[in-house]
Amino acid sequence: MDRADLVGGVGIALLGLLMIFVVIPLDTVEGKYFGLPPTFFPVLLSVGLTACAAALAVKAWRRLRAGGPPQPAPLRLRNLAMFLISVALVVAGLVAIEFLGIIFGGPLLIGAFMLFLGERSVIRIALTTTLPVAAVYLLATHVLRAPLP
Amino acid sequence: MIEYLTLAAGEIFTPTVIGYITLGVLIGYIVGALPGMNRTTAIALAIPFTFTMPAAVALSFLIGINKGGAAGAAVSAILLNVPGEPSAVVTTYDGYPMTKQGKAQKALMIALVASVVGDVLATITLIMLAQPVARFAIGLGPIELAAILIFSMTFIAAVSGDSFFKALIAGLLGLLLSAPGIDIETGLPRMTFGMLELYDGIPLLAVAIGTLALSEIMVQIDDGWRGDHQYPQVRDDEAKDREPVFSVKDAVQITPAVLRGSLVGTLVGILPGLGATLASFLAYTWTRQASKTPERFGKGAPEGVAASESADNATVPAALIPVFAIGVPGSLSTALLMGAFMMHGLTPGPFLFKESGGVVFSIYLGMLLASVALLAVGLFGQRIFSMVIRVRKSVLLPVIVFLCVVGAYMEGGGMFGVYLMLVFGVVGYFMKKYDFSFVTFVVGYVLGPMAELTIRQSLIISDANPAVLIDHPIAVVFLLLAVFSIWRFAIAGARSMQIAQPAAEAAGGGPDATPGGKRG
Repeated sequence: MDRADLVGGVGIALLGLLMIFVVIPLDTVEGKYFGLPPTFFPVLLSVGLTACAAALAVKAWRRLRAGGPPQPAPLRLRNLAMFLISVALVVAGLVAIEFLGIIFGGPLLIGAFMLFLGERSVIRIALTTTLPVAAVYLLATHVLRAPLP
Repeated sequence: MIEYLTLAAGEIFTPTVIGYITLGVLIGYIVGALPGMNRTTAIALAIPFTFTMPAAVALSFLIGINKGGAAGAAVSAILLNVPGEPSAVVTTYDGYPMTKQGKAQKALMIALVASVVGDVLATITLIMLAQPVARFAIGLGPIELAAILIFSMTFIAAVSGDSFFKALIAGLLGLLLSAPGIDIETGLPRMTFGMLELYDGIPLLAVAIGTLALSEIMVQIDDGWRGDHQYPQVRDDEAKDREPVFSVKDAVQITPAVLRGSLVGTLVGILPGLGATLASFLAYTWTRQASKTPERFGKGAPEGVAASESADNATVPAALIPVFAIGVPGSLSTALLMGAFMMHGLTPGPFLFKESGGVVFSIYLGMLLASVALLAVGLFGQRIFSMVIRVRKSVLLPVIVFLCVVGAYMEGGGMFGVYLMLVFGVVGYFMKKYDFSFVTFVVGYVLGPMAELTIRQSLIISDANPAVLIDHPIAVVFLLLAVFSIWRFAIAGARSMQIAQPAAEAAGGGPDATPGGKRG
């Protein structure tokens, strides 16, 4: 975790600096203000963020220099692969829902995830892809009168 | 007050509302019983379904989920030795040994009774304390409120997670997330990147569902692999009791433990950031120390289950005291509930009682009704929950992903909110993997607007002159407490850990270490 903390600390410190010098000044309309400019609060937070991230990086660096037993990486390649496939499935499901609507896109999203998780029972897949979608559709349109994609 | 109570009773004691509250408790119970699922996920997913409900009903429904989740976590802890939530870890110490002795139903019943008593006592404390504290808090100015917020954030950062700096970074990121939108003073757009959807700020549900629910699903998926997505199974012979389920003797035996647990849970719940897990540990330790036969603990002592469960459930209503009275949440679930308050047009804090007193009394009655529902659902549902925990992850996780999408969409803003939820799901995944605190992140996000307002007002009033603090002793006390918590938990805690770690390693210590050890 120390190596990850070092990299994360440096990365977040850079993000803080980017916020202070680029993002906040460029994307905030100052206008006429009475007391403090609109940039004050986000800049204050970004300064705090940069300081904390720098402190985290320094602490991690000192621990790395002091040595110690090797620590397991918080994220292994296999975890990352599973995560990326999950994200890709969600994105594909969202695109399907956006273009086909919840009635057709919802079952596709659920079904794809079930297959990805190793589910092979046709009956279980059929029931799980249809019943929750139907229940949510009926609940949203007839009871809650809430919008659905 | 009588007028408020009459109106509240008229609103709450209707079949529909009773049904909603019972449904909330049932959902919470089921989610709590499922290992790996937690009540914050359930609350985040349920908020969009409450938009069309009256405020008091919606909030009672959500609080019902919270209460049910706290009680339901004991089911898998007792039957499977797998806690449904971290706060139920202590319940496994004596709950699972009881199951192995053929007393599963007795353990479940003791957990239920203890949960309900802890919950009722803490709810009564909330009802009695919140209004007087709020009356006092009305007199607080922006300088005092800013100091209380600074204390809350630093204290939560100090006690949550393993690293103080990571928790603080998460809190600052959460606060920063609240910055996009229309500036409170100039009325001009700030950090909106030209997107109209961001003029109202980053939607709460996109943040909450993404970081709490979707990221949890992704972590659970990458923890397993194909076909490896089934929870451990409860053995049927272990789930059947060989002696009476619950007797008067049992009630007498667990009463002191339940009272201790309720007291500890209420006190810990009021303080920000400490959480139910610590409350359970403290109540369990106190009960074991007070026992004449402490050697029974860890081998199936009913008092152990009772102390842990009553403390766990007592934290739920107690954590709402600072929300109702000052408008400061101290945990993930209360931060989400505070967001739900605001979505329903209520402003938690000192003026809540003045502006929406009727709604508050309705929520109180709803909470008491939820306690009754908790008992009923627990009594009639124990067998069902034993079956629910057998559900396959390959069925459950895809449905939750679908509910995440629906929930993010229902807040409004179309697919923008859904894609934003996905972004926060990714952010939440990495936060979980790299141990950044979710509590400070979500609390920071929810408190952001209030923190900005009070800090800006304080600086303008005081002309940024620290000498003004002399006239504000309450603010000074909270700022000193903030400094103390940083010193105690982040600096001194880190030093003691550095000293203790080699000693513990040399002694072969590990599993019995005190929970919540800090690394600084």
